[in-house]
Amino acid sequence: MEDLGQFLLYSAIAVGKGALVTIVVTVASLLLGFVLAVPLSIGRTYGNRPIQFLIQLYEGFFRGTPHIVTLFIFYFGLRHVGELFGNPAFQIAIPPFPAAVLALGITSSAYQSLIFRSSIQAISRDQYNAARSLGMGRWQAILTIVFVQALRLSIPGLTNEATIVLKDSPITYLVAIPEMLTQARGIIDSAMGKVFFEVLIPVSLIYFGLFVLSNKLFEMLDEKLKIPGFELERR
Amino acid sequence: MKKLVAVVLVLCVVSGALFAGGAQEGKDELVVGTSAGFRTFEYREMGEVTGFDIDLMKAIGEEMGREIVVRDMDFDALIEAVSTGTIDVVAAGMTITDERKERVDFTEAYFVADQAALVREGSDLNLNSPSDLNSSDLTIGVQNDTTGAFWVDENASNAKIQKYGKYIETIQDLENRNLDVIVLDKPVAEAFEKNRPTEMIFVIPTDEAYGLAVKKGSPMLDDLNSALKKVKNSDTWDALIKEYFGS
Repeated sequence: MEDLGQFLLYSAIAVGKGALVTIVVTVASLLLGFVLAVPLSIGRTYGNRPIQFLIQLYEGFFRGTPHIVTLFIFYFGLRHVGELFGNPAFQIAIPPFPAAVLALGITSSAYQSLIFRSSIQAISRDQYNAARSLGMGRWQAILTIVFVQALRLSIPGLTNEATIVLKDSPITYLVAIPEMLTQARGIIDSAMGKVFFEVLIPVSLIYFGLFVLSNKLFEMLDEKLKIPGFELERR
Repeated sequence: MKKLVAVVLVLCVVSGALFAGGAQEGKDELVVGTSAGFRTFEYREMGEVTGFDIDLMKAIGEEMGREIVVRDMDFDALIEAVSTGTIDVVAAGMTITDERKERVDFTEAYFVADQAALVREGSDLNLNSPSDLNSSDLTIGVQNDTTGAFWVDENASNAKIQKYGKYIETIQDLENRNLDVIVLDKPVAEAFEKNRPTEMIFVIPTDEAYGLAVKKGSPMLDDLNSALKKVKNSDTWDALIKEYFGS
């Protein structure tokens, strides 16, 4: 490139756009995972046998299947679903962004459900009993007493899950999402290969920076929710 | 309790909003599939995909009264994508071949190219014509699933052939001395010759024609062809050729 300054500027813009996409995909997937994991974990702990079984299947499938495969199923696979019923014209066509968020989010929900479930189980049954003895209904006790405390305990697990989803996000390039790694490869290509590590190292640092940022946010949340002297105080 | 419900509702709404934002794909849009990394037809600049193919599709889209949306993916994913309707049309310097015609329909050709052989500057391999490539002493690099790869498979099968996902990877291996020569489309070879310490030693005349690909039997084919024809006859076309191929 003749003009180094221009190259740096263009590259920074490209990586910036990519970083934004990476962040949006990661956050949206985590949120979707959270919203789904709440009923899943509660159902698995307090539900009847059929419900527990169904949730177990769901968790097993999405935890046990490679995330790339799940992504392919949501984006490519569902377009062929009609062929299963002998109607090839029928397709479930999900555009790239929703497909990516659905795949990453539903996968994350299976993991988050585990996290919440273990936290729920860590809350002593006394809490539930005490709530009921005060006249609370079953669901009121579960949601307002047990689950709320379980959320606090889940913070370390969620911190980890956030990191995992962030590091999963580059696979979405396969479904045409212009996230940060795609942009990095685009820069390397425009520079005709003159730069390689010069691009990858800053991009790795940005991923690392996002990791540090998300950890810090969860740490702050943890600090805020800590109640000293309470039986669930953490070391 | 109310607070928890409120929080969960907000999360649902936010998730929904993020989702809906991405779900918009208007009926009037033309979804174009391409594979950035093929100078000067499609490449990334400032984060966006641009190039001859992109600008051509923008002009065609205008003729058809539709806005284009560009989706960048691996080259070998494009045919599957257009066959399932994931994308409407492929604009990726894709050569019209009989095998590909079995899976997609092509418009009229919009560009003609040959393949070329690219080596490191100053390398003394003494290769003067395409048949010299068929030597077991050579390691040849190509991009997977391209006509360059097909040519080499057929005409240089004695050589050691290595296939890559993107051209930039072949250039790097060429410079690292893992490859002796690369076979790729002539326009891209010329671009690399200008920018990297490489030389284009000869042209392999394959007379390939690039076409836009659509799903087999797609009703869009006729509209695309007439729009393409109009664009080719217009000043826009001359301006594009000048901008990207500088003559």
